[in-house]
Formats: sequence, structure tokens, C-alpha cells
Amino acid sequence: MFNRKTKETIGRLDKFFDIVDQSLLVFIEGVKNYIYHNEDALSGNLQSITRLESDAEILRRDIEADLYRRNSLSRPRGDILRLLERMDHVLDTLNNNLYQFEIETPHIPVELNADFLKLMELSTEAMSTTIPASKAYFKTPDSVPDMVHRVYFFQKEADTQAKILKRKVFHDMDKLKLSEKFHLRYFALHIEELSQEALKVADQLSVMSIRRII
Amino acid sequence: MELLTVALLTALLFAAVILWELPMSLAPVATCFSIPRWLLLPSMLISLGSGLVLGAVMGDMEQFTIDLSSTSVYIAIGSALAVVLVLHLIGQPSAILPSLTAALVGTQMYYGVTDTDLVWIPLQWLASMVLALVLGVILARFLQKLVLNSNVHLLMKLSWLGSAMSIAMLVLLFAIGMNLSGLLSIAFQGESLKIEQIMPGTLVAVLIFAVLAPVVKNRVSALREEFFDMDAATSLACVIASAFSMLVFARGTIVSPSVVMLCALAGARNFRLGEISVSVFAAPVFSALSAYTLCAVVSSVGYGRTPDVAEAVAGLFALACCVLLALLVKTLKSRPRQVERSSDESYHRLNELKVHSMQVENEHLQNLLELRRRDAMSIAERISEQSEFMDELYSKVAEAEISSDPARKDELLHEIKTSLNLRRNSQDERTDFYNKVETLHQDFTARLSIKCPQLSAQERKLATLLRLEFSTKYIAALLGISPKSVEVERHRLRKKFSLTRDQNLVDYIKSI
Repeated sequence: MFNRKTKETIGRLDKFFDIVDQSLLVFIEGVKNYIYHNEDALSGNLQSITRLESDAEILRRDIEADLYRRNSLSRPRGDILRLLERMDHVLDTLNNNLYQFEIETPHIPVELNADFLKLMELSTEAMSTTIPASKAYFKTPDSVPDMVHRVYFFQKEADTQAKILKRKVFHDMDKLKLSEKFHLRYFALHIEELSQEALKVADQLSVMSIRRII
Repeated sequence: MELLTVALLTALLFAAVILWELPMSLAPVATCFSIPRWLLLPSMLISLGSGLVLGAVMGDMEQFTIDLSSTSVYIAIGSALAVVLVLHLIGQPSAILPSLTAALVGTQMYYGVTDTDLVWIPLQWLASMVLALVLGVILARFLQKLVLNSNVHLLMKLSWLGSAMSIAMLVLLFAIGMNLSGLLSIAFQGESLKIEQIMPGTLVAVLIFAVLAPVVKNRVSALREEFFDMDAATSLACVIASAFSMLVFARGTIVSPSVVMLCALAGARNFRLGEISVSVFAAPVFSALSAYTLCAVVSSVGYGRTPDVAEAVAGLFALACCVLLALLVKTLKSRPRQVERSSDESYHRLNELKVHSMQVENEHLQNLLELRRRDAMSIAERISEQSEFMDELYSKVAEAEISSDPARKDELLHEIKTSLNLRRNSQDERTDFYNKVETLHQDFTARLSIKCPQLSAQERKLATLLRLEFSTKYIAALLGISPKSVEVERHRLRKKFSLTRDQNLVDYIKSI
């Protein structure tokens, strides 16, 4: 009886992480669709990401209730809940950022498309690396530091790419108005925020894995 | 002994054991268990009760088939409780059962009962502790490796560990119950017990446990934080080691569950061996000595016998040693605590000061923000008012331009001139300026009023402007007077400050 409930909780946890992964893919698609002016596809992406976020929210609450109900999980409960909270925050960030594109419709010059895409790929890569690391925490905590190491690498790369992009916007794009430059910088920051979130998740996972090993 | 005395003693002993011994045994269980909360207390009561019944049915302990008077039992219990209390007060983990057993042995020794079987008691204690320690070491290593190296999901592992922990806890409680049934046999003075004699004692024990459950729960939480802040595998190792050791020695002698658990913990985590040794060795030794002394005192007073000087001196010396040792340990322990407390207090005060300074800074920033907000409001009002004035003026000029009537033209020009004159002499802006200067230099205005209360309002304004090092020309414009009048005012100010020719007025004002 207890095993069945535990398996259900494990299933919910895996599903939650899968939803985060899916949301990242939808976000990538959404930004690409915005940059290449595929408005219909973008609105489909927005609907998907909203649905995924609400599914994740429901799952998170269920997992939380499960964890509080089980006495045997009292010790790692806090860590797991904090991790889920961080992941949920990532989902919020993804959702908000994609909606910002749709609402504010920033003017991205064609010359900057590649830079924006590269920044987005690096940021999402940093975030997507945290998902196998999170799953590994539950089965093989020893392998978490290796996986987390990749997150730090991608975060640094995203940071460098964001600087390159911002420098290009403010130094090389003379035809843009200052307000447009500010707007682009604001969106670069939005995408970069994702890698910062990934960094926070990675830090959290590092601490959690150490706590499990000792 | 009378039945009432037996019941009272049994209740007292069980309460002491439940409050003292059981929480330590149950503390690691709280780390990870899978029994639903509503089933927890009933299952614990059943385990403990069945252990008690089975232990009593199986027969009493041979070591304790000794004839004891009510007085000696009371003496033993009093001595054991006193020693445990002293150890508890100085912060040492103490155990009631070994102390009680040792106190009973102490009374026996006083009355000259020599039983070779008594030697086995400390030996069995040692054996149970060594067994728990060794099992703790082996099981902790084994379970930790098993948990870390298996590729099973953490939640599943914890679920399995929780189930194992629950079973181990019930076995441990059963073993404790079996072992405690020795207390029943002591109370009944070694008589062979029938089921109708066992049941009341068992019911009393179970009832005491149920009544004290909330207290036990709180103590379990406190002990868990103090001793068992560890992973589930190590906790399980401690409980299994303890349960196994208790089961093995359940019928041999009265084993202390808390001491056995501390030994298992020491094995599993190399934990506070020094402190454990105090409760393992010091508590029983002191209990035996104090019981012996009390017996000597009571028998000499009660039977009018001449006090055995050597016995009394030896006993009193032992008691004095016990108290002195307790005081010494307490003093030694309190020193770092005092330092820690004072450091905590300093840290607390520092934090308070930081918070206070932040609050003051916040208040200051709020005031500044309010000032800026008012500035912005007044600027906005002035802009709006000026705009209205200009519009009015513009319409009058436009009307004068197109008017063909010279009289009307003159009238309009006169109106424009009057408006401009009024505007030029308006005091609003100047008043506003002074208000701002006074707000920014509130301290100076107050100090000036205290130092020279006879100054007029105009002279105070002049002093403030001089402090800001404004030139005579600016001051004249700001006060709406001629530069010559400013010079006259300056002279009056010098007189009022009683300054000599060598003293500079501005420097003096700045020094206020």
C-alpha cells in the first residue's frame, strides 16, 4: 500500500520535471517564432506554455501534499520542496518572458537575430541541464556535481553572450533609437534571467547532494 | 509490602522510565517511520503492553528474588532518582534503570546479603552495551553503503527505511516491555505472578504511557535534534542495534534502553563516548553509594543503633564527592556556555543596533523623499500657475494689439504693468525658499535662536544666508532690499553678536 503511494509520488515528480523540460522547448520555439514573425505559431506556443504552467502548479501542490503526508520523508522534505519551488519559479519566468515578447513586441533588427537565438539557446541549455541533475539527486546523488558543473559552464557562456549582444546594441546599432536600444537590452536581460535561475537551481542541487552524501 | 505501596511504586517507576528512558529510545525513530499518525500510539501501546505481559508470564529475574523491605525499596528509588536528577541538571545524559538497579544492590550490600549472582548485573550491562555498539558500527556502515550505492529512487528508499524503522521500533518497544516486567517482579518481591496479578501492573504502565504521550513526544523531538540529527539509514542502524541488544538481554537483567541506544549511537556515529560513559558508569556507582549511605543513616536512626562511624563517614564522603563532582562539571560546562551566551547577547545587541540604524536611515530617506516629493509638487504648481499667468498676459497683449480704442489699450497696458509689478514683488517664492533653507538647516536655526534669542526674523534670515556664503548682491535680491541695506543689517547683526573688529561675521555664524 505504501509502495503504491510512493510510486505515485515518484511518478508525479518525474512528470513535473518533464513539464519543465517541455516548457523550455516551447519557450525556445516561441522565441524563434517571434523572431521569424510566425505570429500564429507563437500564439499556439503561448497557449501551450500557459497550460504546462498550470499543470505543473497542480502537480507541485499534489507532491507537496504527498510529502507532508508521509512521515518517512520528513528529513529531505524541505530540500525537495525548495527544489520544486525553484523549478516552479523557472516556469513562471519562462511564461512571463514569452508573454513579454507577445505584449511588448520588441523590434529586433535582423542583424541581431543570431545573437538573440544564441543567447536563448545558451540560457535554455543551462536550464535544461538542471533537469537530469534534479532527477539524479533522487537516484545517484554522487553524479549531481558533474551535471551541475555543466550548468555553471552554460551560465557563464550565456552571460558572455548577453554582454556581446548588449555591446552590439549600444555601440554598433546607430540607426536604433535609444528607447529601442533600452527595449532590446531589457529583453536580453529577460532571456539571461533564465540562466540566472538555472544557476540558483544548480546551487540548490549542489547543497542538497552534499547533504545527502554526508 | 502493602498493595497500595506496590501500586504507587510501580506507577512511579514506570513514569520515571517512560519519561527518562523511552524518549531516548524513540528519538531516532522520529527521523523516518511509515506508521500513520493515528495508528502510532495504539501500536506502541500494544507492543509495550505485550512485552510486559510476556516478560512477566515467562517468569521473574533470578537476581531480584531478594527480600526487600518497603524502606529499602523507597531508599533505593530515592537515591536513584536523586543521582539521575543531579546528572540531568548538569546536562549529562542519565539513565534511571541502571541507577535504580545499582541502588537496590547498594541496599542489599548494606544489609549484608551477599549473592554471587549480583556480579553478573554489571557484566550483563557491559555485554548489552558492547553488543549495541558493535551492531551500531556494522549496521550503520552496511545500511549507508546499501542506501548510497543502490540505484533506487530516494523516496522509495525512504519508504522502505520507514517501514523497516517502524518494525524495528515495535520490536524495540516489545523488548523494552519484556525487560521492564522485571520491575513488576521486584514490586511483587519475586513471587511467581499469575495473569490477574500481571494485568493491573501492565494496565498501569500502558495508561501512564498513554497519559504521558504528549510529554514523551516533546522530549523525543528535543532529543532528536540534540542527538539524532542524522540520515535515516544511521537512525535505523541505531534502532535495530538497540532492539537486538535489548531482546538478547531482556530476561537477564534490567537493561537501560537509553544507555543501549546511546551505545548504538556511539557505534554508528562515534558520538560523545565521554558523556555516555558518565551515565553508564557514574550514575550506577553514585546511586549504589548513596543508597548504601541512606540505609546506614535510616537504620541507625530507626532502630536506635549506635551509628557505625566508618559506614556513615564513608557514605557521607561518597555523597560529598558526588555533589562536588556534579558542581565541578557544572562550573566547567557553564563557562563556555556563559561565553557563548554573552557572545550571543553581543551579537543580538549588534543586530538590534544595526536594525535601529537601518530604521533611522530609512526614516531619514523617507523624510528626504517626502521633501523631494513636496519640491516636485511645488515646482509643478508653480509651472502651472506661471503658465496660467502667461496665458492671461498673452491674451491681454493680444487684445491690446487688436483693440482700436486707445482708452481700452491704455487700460489693458496699465493692467499688464500692474500684474507684472505684483508678480515682481511677490513674496511666495521667497517664502518658499526660506522654508526650504530652514528645513535643510533646522539644527542651525534652533541653535541660533538659543544663542541669540533677541534676533528678529529678518536678521535670522540674513544669518542663514550669510552661513550659505551668499554674496551681498544675492542676499539683497533674496531679501528684496538694496545692497546698502544688507550692509546695514550686517552691521546690526555684528552688534547683536557683540563681535570685535578682528572677528569675521561669517566665520562666527558658521561656528554656531
